[in-house]
Order: sequence, then C-alpha cells, then structure tokens
Amino acid sequence: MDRTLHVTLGPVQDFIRQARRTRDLWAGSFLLSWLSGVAMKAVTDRHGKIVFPLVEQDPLYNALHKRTVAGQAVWPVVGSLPNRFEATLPEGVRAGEVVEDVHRAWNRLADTVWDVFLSDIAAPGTEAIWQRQINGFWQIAWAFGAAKDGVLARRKLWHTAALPGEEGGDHCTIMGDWQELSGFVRARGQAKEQDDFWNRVRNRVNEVIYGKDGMVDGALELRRSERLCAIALVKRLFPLLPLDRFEGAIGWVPGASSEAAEDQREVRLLLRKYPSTAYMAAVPWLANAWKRDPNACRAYAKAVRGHWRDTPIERDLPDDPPGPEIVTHAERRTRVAALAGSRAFGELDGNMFFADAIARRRTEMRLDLHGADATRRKAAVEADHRAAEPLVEALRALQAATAPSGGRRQEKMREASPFYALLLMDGDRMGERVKENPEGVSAALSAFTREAEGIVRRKDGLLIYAGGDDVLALLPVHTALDTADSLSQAFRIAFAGMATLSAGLVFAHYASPLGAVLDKAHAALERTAKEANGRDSLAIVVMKRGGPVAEWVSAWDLDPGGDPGGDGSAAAAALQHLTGAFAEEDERSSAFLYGIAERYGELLIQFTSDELDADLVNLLLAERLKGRDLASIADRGERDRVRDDARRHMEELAAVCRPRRGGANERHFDLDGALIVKFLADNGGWFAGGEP
Amino acid sequence: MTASRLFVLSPTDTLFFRDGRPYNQGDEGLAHAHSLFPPHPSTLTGALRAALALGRGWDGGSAWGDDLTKVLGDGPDMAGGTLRFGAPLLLRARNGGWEPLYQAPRALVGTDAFALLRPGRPLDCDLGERVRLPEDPDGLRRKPVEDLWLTAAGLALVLDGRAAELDARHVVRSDALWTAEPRVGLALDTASRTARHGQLYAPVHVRLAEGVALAQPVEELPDGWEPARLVPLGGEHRTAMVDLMAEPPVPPQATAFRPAGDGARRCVTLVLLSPARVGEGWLRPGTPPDEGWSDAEIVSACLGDPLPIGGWDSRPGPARGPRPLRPFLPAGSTWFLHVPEGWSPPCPWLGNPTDARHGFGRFALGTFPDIHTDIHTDTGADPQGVV
Repeated sequence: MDRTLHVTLGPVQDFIRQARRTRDLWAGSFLLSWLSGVAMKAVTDRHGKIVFPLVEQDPLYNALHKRTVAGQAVWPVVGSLPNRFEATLPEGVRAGEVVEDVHRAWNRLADTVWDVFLSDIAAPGTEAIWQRQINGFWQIAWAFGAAKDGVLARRKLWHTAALPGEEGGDHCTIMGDWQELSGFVRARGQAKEQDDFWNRVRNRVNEVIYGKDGMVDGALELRRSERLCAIALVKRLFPLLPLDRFEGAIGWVPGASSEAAEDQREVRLLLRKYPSTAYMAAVPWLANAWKRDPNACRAYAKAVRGHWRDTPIERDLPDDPPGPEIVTHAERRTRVAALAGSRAFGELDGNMFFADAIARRRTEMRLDLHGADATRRKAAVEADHRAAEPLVEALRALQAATAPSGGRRQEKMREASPFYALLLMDGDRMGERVKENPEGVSAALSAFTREAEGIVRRKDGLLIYAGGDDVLALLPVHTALDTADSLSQAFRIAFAGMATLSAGLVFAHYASPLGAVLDKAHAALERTAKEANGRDSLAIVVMKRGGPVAEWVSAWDLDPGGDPGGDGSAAAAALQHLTGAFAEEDERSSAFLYGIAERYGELLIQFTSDELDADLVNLLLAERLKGRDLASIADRGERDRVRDDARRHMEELAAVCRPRRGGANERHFDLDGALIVKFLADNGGWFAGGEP
Repeated sequence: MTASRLFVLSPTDTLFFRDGRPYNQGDEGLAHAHSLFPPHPSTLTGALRAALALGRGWDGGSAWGDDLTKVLGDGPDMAGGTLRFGAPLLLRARNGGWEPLYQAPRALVGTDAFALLRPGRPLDCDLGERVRLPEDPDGLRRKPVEDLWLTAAGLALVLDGRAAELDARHVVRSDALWTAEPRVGLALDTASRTARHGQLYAPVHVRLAEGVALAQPVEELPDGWEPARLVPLGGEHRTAMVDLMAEPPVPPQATAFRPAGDGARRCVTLVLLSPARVGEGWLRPGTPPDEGWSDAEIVSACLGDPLPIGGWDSRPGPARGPRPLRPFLPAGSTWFLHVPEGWSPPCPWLGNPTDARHGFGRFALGTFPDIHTDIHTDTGADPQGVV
C-alpha cells in the first residue's frame, strides 16, 4: 500500500537572505527550488506520485525530466517549486532514498564548482572545510502520515535534528556562521596567505569567463572584501560555469532556448548578468528618459562606451573587448519590459545612471588597489573622480534633456531615485486550506504561479521566485504598489475568493544590504501583515540608509467588506491616487504634511475612533485648503472642482492614516500612511500614471 | 568562605553584543549588524571576570597572575579557576527589589491563551520509527511562542503542566524589556565630507527598558572579592554598573512529576535556562548519550535553532584569534522525558563541563500529562517503556 510522505528542505530563509547581490538572491531561490524538484523527481522515479503541489505544468519540474511545457521557449530561470511537498510513496521504498538523491545532486553541483574553480588552487586546509560544509548544510526532514494530522507541522515543532560542525578560523563574509575557505587566520599573521588564496580564485574566475586572467571581472564577481565559505561560493559561482558543466550539474541551462541552438556566449552572459538593485531603482527614470528622448539616451550610451574606451583605468582593462562591456552591457538583454526596445541604453550598468556612482564604479574595477595603502587608494579615488567628470556631465545633459515637467517633485525626478522595492508575498492560512481541499488548493496555486510571472514582467519587475503560495520580486518604485495589488487580486481569483494573500513591501536604497532588506520584508509580512494585522493585508516599509523611516499596514480593503473583485484594493488605490495628488501640488503637500505632523500629530493619535470619524476629514481639509483663496477662482465650476478634489483626497488620506487594523474597530490615526505617500511622491511613484 | 551571589549588570547606555560572525565592513554601501540579546553566558562571564580582576587591582592590560587565575581561571575555558557561574537572567525592578524573568520554553504555544505541547501519537519520520513528535493539546496548529519571558510564578505553572493558567501577570513580551536602537556610524572622507565607501556602519544596539537589568549568579566567590563598579560590556565601548547581591533566585521546579501510563515511570520536562552544547544523541528519541542519564528516555522534544557561539581569545600567543563557532541549543529548548520514579538528574547542567563553568547548560525540570496511554514506544532504554 502507498504511504503518504511529507518532505521539507531547508534552511530556506537564511539560505536566500544571505545574499550580497541580486544574482545571489536568484541563485539561492533557484537552487532551493531545484533541489526540491530533485526530491520530487526521486519520488516519481520510484513510482510514487506528487500530491501537492501540482507539478504537471511546472516548468522546473518538467525541466528536470528534460521536458518543456507548452508555450515555453526557454529553459526555466525562476524557481517555481516550493521547499515542501506531499507525495505518495509505494510500500518498500525508503524515504531516505529521496534524501540521498538530493544529496547526490547537491554534491554533483558542488563537485563541479570545485573542479572548475578550486581543485588546483586550493590552500592546504580548503578541501576539508569544503567537504565539511557541503556535506553538513542541507536539512531535509520528512514524515509519513495524513496531511490532515499536520505531520510536517509536528515535525517542525521538534525542529533540530542535527548540529553543524565546529567552524573555526575566519568566517565567511556572507554566511557568517561558516568558515571562509582559505583556512588562514588574519589574526594569526596569515592575512597575506589568505589574500593570495582569494586572488587565485579571482584569477581563476577570469580564466573561466575569458580564458585568461588579469581581467576586472574576477574582482567584480568576487570583491576584495569577500571571503566566502563553500555554500556561498557555490551560490556565487555556479552561474559562471561553462555551459556543458552547468547542464551536467543542474540538468538544463536557465534562459537557454529550448527550441534552437544559440550563441553560447549570449547565454552565459544572461546567466551572469543579473539586474542590480541600482538598475531596478533607475527603471522609472530610464523608462521616462527613453520615452522622452531616445536620441539623447543613445548619445549617453555612446558616451559611456567612449568613456570606458578612452579613459582606461590603470592596469585593469584589457586592450580588446569585452572590457568596457562590463559597464556597457551590464544588464544583458534587459529583462525590464518597458526598456525592451532601448538596446544599448537599457543594457548599461545601473551605476551609470547615478552621478555619484560612476567614479566609484571605476575604483571598484581597479585591480591595482589590491593591498594598496591609504595614500595610494586616496590618489586613485581622486583620479577616478576627475576621470569620471566628463561622463557625469554627459549624464547631467541627459537628465536635462529628459527631465519631467512640473514642480519641485518633478524636478527632483530629473535624477533617478535611488530607491527600489522588494516584494514578498505569502498565502494566508494555506495549511488549513490544504487540509480542507488539497486538490483544489494545488490547482489554484498552480494557476496563480503561472499568472504571477506575467504580472511581474508586465510591471517592469524582476521575479526572483514564485512557487506554491510564495512570491519574491524586485520592482521599480512606480509599479510596486500596483504589482502587489495585482498579485493579490490574481490570488483571490485563482482561489475564487476563498483565500487571501498578504504582502511585505519594502522600499529600500539600492546600496542597502540585500539581506537586511529581505529581513525587513519578512518581518513586515510575517509579523506586521499576518500576525499583527490578521492577514489579508499589505505592510509597507520605507527603509532609508540609516534604517526604517515609515512603517504602515492595512487590510487590502480599507473598509470591511470592500469588493475584492473591483479594480484593485482600496488601500493600494488610495496610496496611488494620493501619490499623484501630492506630486501635483508638491510645495503645498509638503507644507501640509509638516503642518499635520507638527500641529495635530500628537493630538490625533489620542483621538478616539468616534472623534476621528466626526472630525478627521474636515480637519485635514481645512489644513489642505489653508491659505488657498478659493474665492479668487472666478469660475464657480472650477472652484467647486478644486474643493471637491481636495475633499476626495482628504477622505482618502484619512483612510490611509486610519488603516484597517485588526478589524474595523481599531482605526486610530497613524501619520506613517501620509509619510509613505510623501515618499512615493518624492521618488517617482507618480510615474505610474504618466506625468501629472 | 564562599557563597552563592548574584551579579547585577545595569547598562549605562545602550548595549551591543556580537556573535562571532564578521561585521561586514565590505558590504556595498553600509554594514548592518544587529546586536544579539540576551548575550551569551560567556560574554557576561568575560565582563564579570574582568570586573573582579579590576576590583583586585588588575591594570586592565597585563596578563593575569596566579592570584587571579586560581579563582577566575585562565583564558576562555576558565582553566584552573574555582569560580562557577549560573544561567544568566533578566531582572525587572518590582516592589523595591528585583524580579527574575526566564525565557519561555519552546514547548509553550499560544498568544493570549497558552498551552504546553505534549508528545503526540507516534509516526515514522527522519528522526526514526514510531517517533512521538510534539502536538498541540488543543488540536490547533499554534507555533511556539517567541520573544516571551515568564516570571518565576509563570515558569512554575508551565513546569507543573498548568500552562493554561498563565495570564498577563505571568508573561512579559521582550519589547517591554528591551528595544532595538539603530545607530549610524561612518568614517568621513575629509576631502569630500562624505562617508568613505564601505565605511558606513549601521549597528543596531539594544536599549534595556527602565528598571531592567542583566544578572548572573556566581558560586565559589571568595569573601572580600568585589567587582569594579563600572565594567565594559559587549562591543562599541558600552559599559554597565555592577552590583553584587546576596542570594541569587532559585529557578522554579515542578512540585511533583506526573506518572506516565503504567505508573511505573514519571513524565519530566527538561527546559534549558541557558544555551547548551549537547551531543547528537540529545536530538533523537531514545536514551540520552551522556553519562548518568541512561535511565532517562527522550520521548519527544521542542528544540530551538542551533546557536553558533564563538568568541575571541585575546591572550597573547598562538591561541590569539577567533575561537571556533560551536553549535549550542538555545535557552528554552525542551525535552519530554520518561524517567524512573525517584529519578534525579546526574548533574545540574547539560553538555560540556567546561562550558558549564560559564553558566551554559543550566535547566529546570517540570512535568507534563501524558494522555496517550495506549502508545507503546520501542525507542527507550527500558523495554517496559509503556506509557
């Protein structure tokens, strides 16, 4: 008789969050999804059946079987399989066999990375560290029993089944619990040996990418400050593997055509070049610039190319291409829909759109600063600043040529905002739903996952993961709210209104550490949207470089019983409308918010729900219209329109500042809603609806 | 003469405790580092041993002489010393005195109404055959509490198997005890007056609430040894005032262990009060691997994520440098045991004896009702292990 098996693979959150760059984030999600697929395949290879999730139409599951699904022209890039599943396993098959297959697949990949990058350059202690870490990393728990008995949940309550080994020496700069691979200890006078080891790895990276060393990519793929453990190194370097080795280890090459042979170099570049957070931040500005003046954009792309050709950085650039391509084709075949036709302009390194980042990029690309003293470093930094000046001027010219028209806020978006969004979503009470109707949930999730990729792509975002009831995506500021809202709607529709989705949306500076941004998104989703606000909610955090400056949460529908099938949720729509309104009347909006915060902030917080019901809109309206001489508007119709618009906006603002929390009864005043609107208005959130 | 005493550490400002992982200076943009809290026992003992040495006239820099090491021990292992520390505590000022607070056991579930998980019906899983994984007694799927502290009376209720009687008087959320306080630090480029790239830091400190302090019991402290009043504590040049109090509080215990199934054995919960470095045998059902524990049987468990604890050996010489990160089970980890009647634990700590000098591995014993009387386990040392 078949037995019901539940499997879960981890660690999930730690493995994904320990990322320094967007490609690490993708790599972690992809590897986890791939290993989960390997476990599922281990079940079906032994005549078992996957019960949950539905995998027949899953691109990743099919790729493991060397099949594509209908309409799929390239092998899957995005992780789509959740880290846990339910299956039936024939009598006599050990669950341990599934676990062994996962370890074999992981070891095959790790061995390939070792062979290609480390085998002949390892330090004396490297191999022992490598084996210990590779063998001890994954925790795979399983249990037999009916889903309705919550066996996997019970297994999770026991939790720890193995302890990692002792990790001595210096630690990995990304995954701090693990030793870095050289085995040398800086505090014991072995800094030089340690640096030499990591320089050998960098050179090897160059050889693997270009077939020769001394190139700058090695330093960019593995920065001077990065000394990694085996797990982080596999995550970082497997996308750089030669394609035949990649395919041999994983089973397919993500992004490669499943229909026709294509340029291998292009495929490798696609794997290697992942849009940076700086690029995602620049997207609204880029899209606007491209729309306004494509010729000026092309001229700038040419200037970047010329700059890198004409002012080479001492000692680090090769005489022949593809040296400048590191910068000019950083975002190979841009993945952002709105920039699809922009060619060279849309492929520029995201740093090229921020004046203060251009010189820094030059400095990062210097190989001659390895081990340099402070004086030499300072001289190099100053030289790069001087060298970058003409390009900064060219950027300024492009900014002037493509500047949005309007007031102060529009003027502010003359330059790209440094903020992007990270969206994390998760279905509400999925465990209970699965218990009630596993087949129905499985089918609904499968439909939602397929839909999610299209939604994120249409909103110019970058889907990192969409599997089961989870979504992780990077988005430009101007489409983030709309994307979260559309995904929430799609989820409800897939479940015919019987299930909801919660979201944590973080607006972060592109230089904020990714792990910290992801942590904040997890906290916003799990603690704020789900635990504190009772699920079916959107939690938003604005995170500046010093930390969070505004945190807001609301049920998707500001009013209980709101129509979920309409044009989107009231919460997201209100924020979006207000962003447009604030951007339109920038000076007055800033003064207005300042006035509310200074004069009424403390008072309003103390108002009861009834008092707020009675007075808040009128109070906001009075403040909004203060000093505005309506009588001077001669046309009565126009006067009424101004007054009505202001009232409508203040009604929306009142709702946003009284978000629905824990049911309709707890609706206290919270200024953070207004601060989020101000942030969006200041950072191009209004690009969504075109120029105001 | 020596006696049990209690050190009370009252921070003078925020606190910042790292965990041996690197503070990534090389992060793009800025380096984030969260303080962990509560600190590991060895962090407190490091500060307290320094405070005692300073109190004996140590200059703060030179190597310790025999007069200090014979009491305080030498190096991170406290080698050769007689001093022994207990599990660190949080204290809350109440009625003119201090009230101890304990980290809630991981087997405690609920938000307003609480319950203690219990060993459920057996099933086959990666931990073995017929394993009695924990289950929610109310048939719900509640998660173990997080960030929750219990008063002594609250912990006593849980240990007595009466978690349902917990109310607001017994529980304190951690955000009422301390808050995270983000700071920004930077190295300034004198020419441009901007932060040097890669040298912008955002450490997140911890600020204890008014009337909250850290404490650690100590044994074998010779008469007349007084700590320096002000001592560096943790990182970022933070300090704390040290007071030496008379008697440390005694953690609660179950009043009686409930009988299991046939009445021949007793049901005991073992709750870690401080992190413990245990052998792998403690992670599975069956007989605990340590000497003296062979008549106990692990029936079930709720264990926390392993906590990597390292440190820094600052003594001059070849040992100088980072100490290896070793995995500890966190405070609150709970085992469900079956034991013979009249059983008592072989020693008052779990895990490595050297760690125990710092106060690691301390535990409290409680009991649980084992309602699945029809279950036969076959994992225990006792073939009669029928409950």
